[in-house]
Amino acid sequence: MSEEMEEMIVDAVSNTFENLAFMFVEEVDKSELENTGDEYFISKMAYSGDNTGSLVMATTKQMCINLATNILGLDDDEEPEKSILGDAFNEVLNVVCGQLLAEKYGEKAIFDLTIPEISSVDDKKWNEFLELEETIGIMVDEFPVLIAAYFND
Amino acid sequence: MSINVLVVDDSKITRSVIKKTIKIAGIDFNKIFEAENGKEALEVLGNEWIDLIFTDINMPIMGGAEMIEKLGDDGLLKTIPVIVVSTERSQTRIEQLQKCGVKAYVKKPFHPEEIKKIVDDIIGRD
Amino acid sequence: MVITVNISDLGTSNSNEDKIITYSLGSCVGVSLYDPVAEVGSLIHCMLPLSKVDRAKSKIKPYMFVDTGLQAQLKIMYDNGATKKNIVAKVAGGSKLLDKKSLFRIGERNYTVVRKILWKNNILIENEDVGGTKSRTMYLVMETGKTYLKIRGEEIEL
Repeated sequence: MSEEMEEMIVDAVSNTFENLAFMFVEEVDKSELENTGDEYFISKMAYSGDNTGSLVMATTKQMCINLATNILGLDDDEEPEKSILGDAFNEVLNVVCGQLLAEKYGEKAIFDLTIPEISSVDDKKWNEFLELEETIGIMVDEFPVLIAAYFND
Repeated sequence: MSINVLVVDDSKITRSVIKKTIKIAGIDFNKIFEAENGKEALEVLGNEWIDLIFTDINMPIMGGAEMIEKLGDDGLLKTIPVIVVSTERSQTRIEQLQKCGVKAYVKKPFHPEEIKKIVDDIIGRD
Repeated sequence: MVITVNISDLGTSNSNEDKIITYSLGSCVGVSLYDPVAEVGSLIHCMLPLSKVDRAKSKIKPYMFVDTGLQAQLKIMYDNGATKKNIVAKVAGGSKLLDKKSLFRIGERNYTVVRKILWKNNILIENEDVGGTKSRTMYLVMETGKTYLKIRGEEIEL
């Protein structure tokens, strides 16, 4: 993946986390993100139309708790419902996808997006995803997040 | 005059953000209804008086574009102002929606203040 | 009376005769809060977004950081009889000025944390003038509850 493409992906992710959840993104060396010892979520979606491809993001459960708390504007001592954690992360992926496609292909291109699907994964799956060449690693408010974009251009 | 609002989005958290915005923006509302997709929304519209609709586009079962088209086929429902809140960025699609009578389009990620301004413009203030 | 708010500072008033002013908002962010029912107002000038970069400093200078500063400003407003639903919030600053440490996005991040704290407190921003590369002077006139900006010699109501 080109540096320019990687920057475009990180910008879309950064813009989404900041505007949706008031959280700040920092690029890091992927090796720093191995085995954080928490529960993980992976969310996936695909797009079709003028071009096709897919987007995958993964993070920890704790990040999703912070994410939902921020999006909803809850007090620090309030916990979001468990059922909304995955939804919050799916929505991030959904928004990232919309921004990334507009940035890469322009606003005249037409796409159909699938609904993001989320699942819980273990350390092994986290590390496997981390080690893929196209996977980018970032910290979002000191929580690890992995992103990979697959463009069938 | 208090309004009834319908919020249509498969994302529960987005529905919660729009609901919270309506509540804290000083908008005079009576009740806020929710639906997870266009089909559910049409069921609500069949049973309740709705003054304003917020809708996403990309939803399972029935998306926002199809729902809006069906609203346009009904003499009464087509008069309800619709605000689209979506990640959709295709200019072609946005123009199609506006031709179907969509009053405003808000791109995700949005600031709640954008929602407030649009509602104030559409509904007006007492 | 004119109450001057310096950098990393807060000014509060419940007198109709006061004007609270802060100068040179570059990447810093200014937030004016006014409750027209309780007739209390305040203006803060924050430099950095998050206090976690220097917890010790944030205890001595809470208004330096948006997260501790704005929370403290809100508490003072509430202690003086203001209520969330009546507070009118206006925001200015957060410019993209290159600071000495080349942390380009300080201005944007200051603005983001303002949004975060206000959203948590169920307060929407009434009006704002943020970003760009200009330096702003901001002041709150207690008699009217209105907030003004002065930018390159030109005065505008926010």
